[in-house]
Amino acid sequence: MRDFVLERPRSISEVLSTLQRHGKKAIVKSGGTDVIVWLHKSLKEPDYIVDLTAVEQLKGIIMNEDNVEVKALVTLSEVIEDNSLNRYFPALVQACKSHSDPLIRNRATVVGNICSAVPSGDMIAPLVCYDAKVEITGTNGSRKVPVSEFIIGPKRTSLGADEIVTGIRISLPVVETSGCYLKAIRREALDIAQAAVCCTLFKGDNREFRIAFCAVSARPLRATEAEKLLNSCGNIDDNVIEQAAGLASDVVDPITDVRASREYRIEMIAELTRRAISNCLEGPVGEGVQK
Amino acid sequence: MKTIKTKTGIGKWLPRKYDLEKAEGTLQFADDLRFGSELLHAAVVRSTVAHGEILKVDDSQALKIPGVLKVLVGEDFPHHFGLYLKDRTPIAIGRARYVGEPVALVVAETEEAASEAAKKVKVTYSELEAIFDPVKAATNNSVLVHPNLHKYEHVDFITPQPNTNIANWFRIRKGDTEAAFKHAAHVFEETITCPQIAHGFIETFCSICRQDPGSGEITIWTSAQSPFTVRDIIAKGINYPLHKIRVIAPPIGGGFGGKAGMTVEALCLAAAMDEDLKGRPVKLFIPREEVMLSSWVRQGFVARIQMAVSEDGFMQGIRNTFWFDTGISAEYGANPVRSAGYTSMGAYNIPNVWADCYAVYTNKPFGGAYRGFGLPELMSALEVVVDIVAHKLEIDPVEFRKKNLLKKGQTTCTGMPMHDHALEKIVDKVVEKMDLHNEEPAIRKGWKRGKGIALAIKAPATPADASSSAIVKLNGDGTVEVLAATMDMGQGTYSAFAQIVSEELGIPYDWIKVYYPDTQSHPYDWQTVASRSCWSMGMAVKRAASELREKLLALFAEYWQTPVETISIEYGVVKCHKLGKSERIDERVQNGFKMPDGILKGGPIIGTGSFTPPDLIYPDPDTGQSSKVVAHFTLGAVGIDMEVDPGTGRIVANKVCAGYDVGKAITPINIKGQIEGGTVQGLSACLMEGMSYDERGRLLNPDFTDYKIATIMDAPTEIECFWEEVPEEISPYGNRGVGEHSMIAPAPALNNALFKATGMRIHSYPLSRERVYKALKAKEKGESDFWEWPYELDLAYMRAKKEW
Repeated sequence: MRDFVLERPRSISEVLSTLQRHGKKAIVKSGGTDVIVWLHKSLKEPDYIVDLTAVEQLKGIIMNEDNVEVKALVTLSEVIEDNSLNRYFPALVQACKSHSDPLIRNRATVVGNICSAVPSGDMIAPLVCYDAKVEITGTNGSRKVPVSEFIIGPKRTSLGADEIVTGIRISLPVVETSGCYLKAIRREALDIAQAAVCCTLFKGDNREFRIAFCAVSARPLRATEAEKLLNSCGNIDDNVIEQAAGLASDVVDPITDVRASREYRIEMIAELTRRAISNCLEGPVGEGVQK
Repeated sequence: MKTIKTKTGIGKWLPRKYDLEKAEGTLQFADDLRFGSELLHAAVVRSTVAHGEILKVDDSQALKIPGVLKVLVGEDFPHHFGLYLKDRTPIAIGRARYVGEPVALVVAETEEAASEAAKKVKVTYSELEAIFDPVKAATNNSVLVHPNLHKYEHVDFITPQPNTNIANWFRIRKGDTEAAFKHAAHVFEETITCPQIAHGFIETFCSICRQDPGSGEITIWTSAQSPFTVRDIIAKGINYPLHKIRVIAPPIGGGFGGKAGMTVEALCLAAAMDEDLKGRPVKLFIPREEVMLSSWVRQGFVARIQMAVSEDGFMQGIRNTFWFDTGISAEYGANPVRSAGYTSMGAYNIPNVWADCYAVYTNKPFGGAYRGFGLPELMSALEVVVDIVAHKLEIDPVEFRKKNLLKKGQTTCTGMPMHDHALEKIVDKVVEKMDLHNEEPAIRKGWKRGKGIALAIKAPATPADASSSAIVKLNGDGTVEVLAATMDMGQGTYSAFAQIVSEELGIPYDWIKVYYPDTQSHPYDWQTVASRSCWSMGMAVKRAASELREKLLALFAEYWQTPVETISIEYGVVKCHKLGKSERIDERVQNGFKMPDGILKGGPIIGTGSFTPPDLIYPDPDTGQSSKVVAHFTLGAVGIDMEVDPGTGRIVANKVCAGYDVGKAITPINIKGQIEGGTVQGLSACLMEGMSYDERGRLLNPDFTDYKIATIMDAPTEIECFWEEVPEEISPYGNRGVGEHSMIAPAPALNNALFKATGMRIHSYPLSRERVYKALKAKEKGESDFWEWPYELDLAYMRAKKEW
């Protein structure tokens, strides 16, 4: 690991001025579960590490009247323990539970997961399904973008060098919902998804399914055709579910690597989509990993 | 006669030695040792090609980094090392043979400078064709990994084949196999493969070497299982006096065979002996990402097994061809080949046996010792083949096994008579505890459930003369120190030795301490391998403790003027019930007893003991036959109840039952731990482990991001373990080894259960979710058997979409 200078700003404005000062020589760290590994493996060799963990403004889960803010330093463990998030966003909580192990979840942050922007990031699909907005602040002001526009490719985001993500904001559902996150993995803990499916169902008069994927596309991907089919069918029987699973697996475009072949990933998308739709129809469900 | 009383002797359940220090984090491992500012650090520059001539090593940029002192290349330390076959140099000389082979070593004042400089060393290669497939390497000599094989020194019982890639060819020729196959009612042939797998020990490699510039004496602190063998291999490798090499082995964080023999010590020593650096200690710490590239892993394995069976279901003959993928070095890997070879009959009475077992060089990281030493691979194949044969003959697999079981007095494939054992009883118990014949519905919706069984067998695969010795010292406060150069790496041997000493001396377990090895203070022991320590070193410790006891009793007999038979040691106190005397052990055991005649007798009391297997004879190189090729076999059986999710290929073991004939349980807590741990490790190897390479020989899963081993979440819901005690004749208390055995049968038992659940036979390990899923899809299309060549991934890579 190459030497670097550790900067620990205390406020968002200090963070921004630090970033402005160092430009591309700096990288931002929150939980550090990715950044420290990159440094260790010499994948990144920054001169400055800007550690956000001392910035109080970036901490906490804030429930507002019609939305919730998950600030940049909120860990996956905090999400798992939050009653409101469990109630409103079960698929996000399940995705957090499926991520790594309890020790890493105590450090890893939801925002960090989307900023790393690896296609296998577990937070991406649920945040896409819940239509979360990424809140960005930079020297030239603030902006909000949907997760699907924030991530522009593998390990690439639309974040400027002088910007940071301060948090994500999700509208609270006004109808009853159910949701799940099902993940194909090689073992029962501490594994990166071979493929995963997030499915959310907004009940009420205009029932709406949303389905998004993990680890099977370069950018965040929704199964729009499958969603359309499900949302247009009055009665969702096994035949419809089968068709939806087929439409879902048609749109993914995974790679072959040491974790899984492209073929297996596609098959798992179909299988997990099938299961996820059934789970959502059955109502609120428990644990995240496929049973 | 032994007259002692203890509550902490053999067979008792006691807290284990050093567990407290480990839990508190105070135990010092090699990396925790401090050497001050004198210490230099080494970092390795590794080959980026699988096979190539090294044209140039440009260190000019590396040497510009502040604190960098030297960059060594292979020619700077041109010594060949090896336990059985001297086929490796610490740094490649002239030619790099696998991706990751050391091609230069950077030495610097700090670890950071060394690793930064290592990145700056530029090596140019002229690439050569490489070979990765062991069967191709064995049968086609177009690429020779070691063209100089004929020049390498080796022990007598290894038979390298010059001008080929075969580093060892072990043969069994027993009976008339040709006739057996000709006349058999049924003949079967099956092929099964296992990939290379890695030990996954928690502590990576770490060595510190220093040479005294005056005396030339070398001291090595290292994470090693076997300090004396490190000393031997280095002395022979650099042609240096044995007495000038001292090896200190601090506690190690797991070994599983991966720290047996000599691993990275010579690489570190290359720097410590350099003329420009000599006198300063040099540390070589191998980071996790480089562990699998630095020393051996379990060899890849391809088995072709043919079996001849009579009309009435008796095994008449077996013909085995085993190709072990030993990577670029067979210095250690040549021997698991032998170990599997002379267990060619498995746990069965087969009169006619023909086996050809090859250690095959390929351009991959090298294979060697791994818990089970050839037997998990062999039995993962053989026990599945036996199951296949039973099903094809429509005989119950349990009955088929019992009918052919190798019983006392029947001969193994090397012609050695089998000793008494409880395997039949163990099989019956496993069947009963698992309700093995009762097909039950799956617990999980939509899953398929099955139960399977497999047998385990293994002998210590050591040289015939592998010896042990121990010293037991009595302190002036009645406590005892034991110097036995076994490494306690978690298996708990020091607890066993303390219980043996307590059994022999009547001194409580808590008063007995066993020390980590140092070749300067400890007497010789060959290696901590082969599940031999409680047996071989156990003999030495028992002998040492009883010698000490006899000395102590003789002194008290004279002191009290009473026959020695009237004296006993009870719970640490010396007693004579006849005279009503009772005294604690005190300074008199250091400075002597003042006898009734006024004369001082005795002095420091030390017991010594040593053991060499008395009757082992190397097998004949042409036929593999010998009257006694191994000390003993430990046998056992494993039953597994599992179910599989056909939609994803995920397998869950509901219950595992494992029983072994241990002869005598010295430390039951360790045996239970070994059986549970080995079961999980065996299932891990079965379900998820395998080193994967791309088509250029680059290891794709060098660290735990992608090399997966089972976590507690993947362990079976229930493991029931038990043991039987049919005593071994030549043994401290009748005990036999059990450390490795628990890892042998879980994989085939699970594979057999998968067949019961699905009707599908998978011939390639691991039974990863993806592979099981694919196999079950093939089953839907009418297939009954599924293979994927271990190098399937290389092929997949060639046609895959790799990046977006």
